[in-house]
Amino acid sequence: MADKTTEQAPQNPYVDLPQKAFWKTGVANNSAFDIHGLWSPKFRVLPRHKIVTAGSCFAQHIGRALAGRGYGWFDAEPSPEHLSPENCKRFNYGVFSFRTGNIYTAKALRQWMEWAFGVVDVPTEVWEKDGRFYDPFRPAIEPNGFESADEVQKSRAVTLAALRRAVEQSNFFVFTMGLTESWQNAEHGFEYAMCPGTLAGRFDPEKHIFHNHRFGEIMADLKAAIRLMRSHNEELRFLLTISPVPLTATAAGGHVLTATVHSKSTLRAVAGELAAEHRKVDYFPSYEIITGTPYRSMFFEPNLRSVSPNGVALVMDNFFADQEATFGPVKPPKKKAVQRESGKKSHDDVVCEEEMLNAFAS
Amino acid sequence: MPLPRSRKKLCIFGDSHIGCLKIALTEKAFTTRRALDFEFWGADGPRFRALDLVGSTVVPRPEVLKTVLMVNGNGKEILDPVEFDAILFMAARVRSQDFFTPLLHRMQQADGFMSNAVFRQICQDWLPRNRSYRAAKAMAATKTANIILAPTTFTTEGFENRLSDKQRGAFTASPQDRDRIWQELTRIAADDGITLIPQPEETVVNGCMTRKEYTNTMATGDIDPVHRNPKYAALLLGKVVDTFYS
Repeated sequence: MADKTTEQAPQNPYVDLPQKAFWKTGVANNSAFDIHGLWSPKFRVLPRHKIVTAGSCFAQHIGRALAGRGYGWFDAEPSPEHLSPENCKRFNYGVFSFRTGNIYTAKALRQWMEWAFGVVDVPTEVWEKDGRFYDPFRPAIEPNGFESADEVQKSRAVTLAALRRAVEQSNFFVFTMGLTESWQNAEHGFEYAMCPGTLAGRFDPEKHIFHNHRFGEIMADLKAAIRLMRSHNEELRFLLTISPVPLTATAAGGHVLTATVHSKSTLRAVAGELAAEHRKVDYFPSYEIITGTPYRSMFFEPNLRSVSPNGVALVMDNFFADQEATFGPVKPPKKKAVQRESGKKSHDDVVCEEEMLNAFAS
Repeated sequence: MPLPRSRKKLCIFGDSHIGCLKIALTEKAFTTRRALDFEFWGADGPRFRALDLVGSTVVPRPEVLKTVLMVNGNGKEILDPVEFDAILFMAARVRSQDFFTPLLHRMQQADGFMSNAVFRQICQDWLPRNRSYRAAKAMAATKTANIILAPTTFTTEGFENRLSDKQRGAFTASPQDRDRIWQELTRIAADDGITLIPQPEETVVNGCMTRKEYTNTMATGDIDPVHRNPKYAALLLGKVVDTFYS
């Protein structure tokens, strides 16, 4: 006689799974633009939240898209007033939440945080090229470098203050991981933003060593950075993403394509593992949306590196759609009213008119 | 080739801020022994917006022609640099206060440091954003008249509450801070063929305000926070004439 319980149970664990769990119904039968439910967010992101974006270059798209939809993207290092939008971009204001430039690796993120919160001293190394001075940890932050080494240090101190502000005052920290390959200082172990001698600095094989971060190292660095940030803001929640942008070049000895896949796969594994381990860490699959096979590389520009605006738009559409699917609709943020010149005369206008009549109408 | 004029002609162009210069000349608060004739051209604040730059000339829209003719008094409907030896752009809505106060405020903040390259770029970005500056640049490019620019003055002391929290650090700005900004603006203007005359330092108080003694008193007896009196006008005209003959 058959067991009653066995009779009522599904034939196997897959029977009751939703359509998204199957390749055929979740992917193959759909247009790339109709693939939904890629993300089950852990936290609700609301327009009133302060959101920090940092990391590899793809993070700047996320920040811009959030701000564009009226969400509270946190600019912790705002540009001086009167700098034009084009020049803000040239000088890397408003690109990320602070002027660190790209933070490609977990180790670099940890470094910045440890410098900002005084865990370790900031290295004094400055690069010089053609009479201009460059910050080894953000060499492209000013288009032509700085006037002096002193300027490099003072400007970096402003950025470190902005980093502290960002961590202490924000609700969400979005970090886009970019690379596993890096260049480090052989003696002190700190990591450069890029290989010395490329943009500035002078490469010295005795002083500068290549390092390709392994899974365990990345996990340790990212955990340390998160722990440090949470020690200054225990409510801070983290959203990890992986940059879909391939490596420009590899120094690991192999082909740049296999190096890219190795690098991104490692980072993807770290992000997944951390999100699985930590209640306050989530992973958002922007990487899959750009690089996944259903999307047939359609969001890459002809160089097969840069991501097109359409790709960024689809990523962010997914972000907001999945937020809504999990937590319900969000009341659209109020748009700032545009101040228009009215036909009415202001008090100062009346004063101006009187001044003119007084001088010229007599 | 036209013969050089024995008497030079200086046109004072601007908005309501040209009023104090007119009074200073009429009431002889300012005199000069130079062979220099002054002429005025412009319109007050709201009407100033209806003056258009056409090529290197300024042309009024029909609705402000009457005001322009009243100000000019010589029937000159169009402001053309070829008709003058010099044109002074007086204030002309180039509002130095709007530019100086946030910058001076930032310069006083512990984390307000900006590189010299950024500082120079801010100055470079701001000047051409002013419509009158673009007009001055277009006129200077004709290499006919000398083009001189005196931006608006800072708000009168006593009106500090007009400044927002993001500007109040400017109250502690030093003469060196102001000079750094003026020097850069002057350099940029010079590159565009324009002589920029900063607000005279002796008229400044509280970091970014204008001393009361240079202010205009309105008919009601209240202090006008923006316009200046003939005393200020005389001081400025002295600098303009010196600049023109230097």
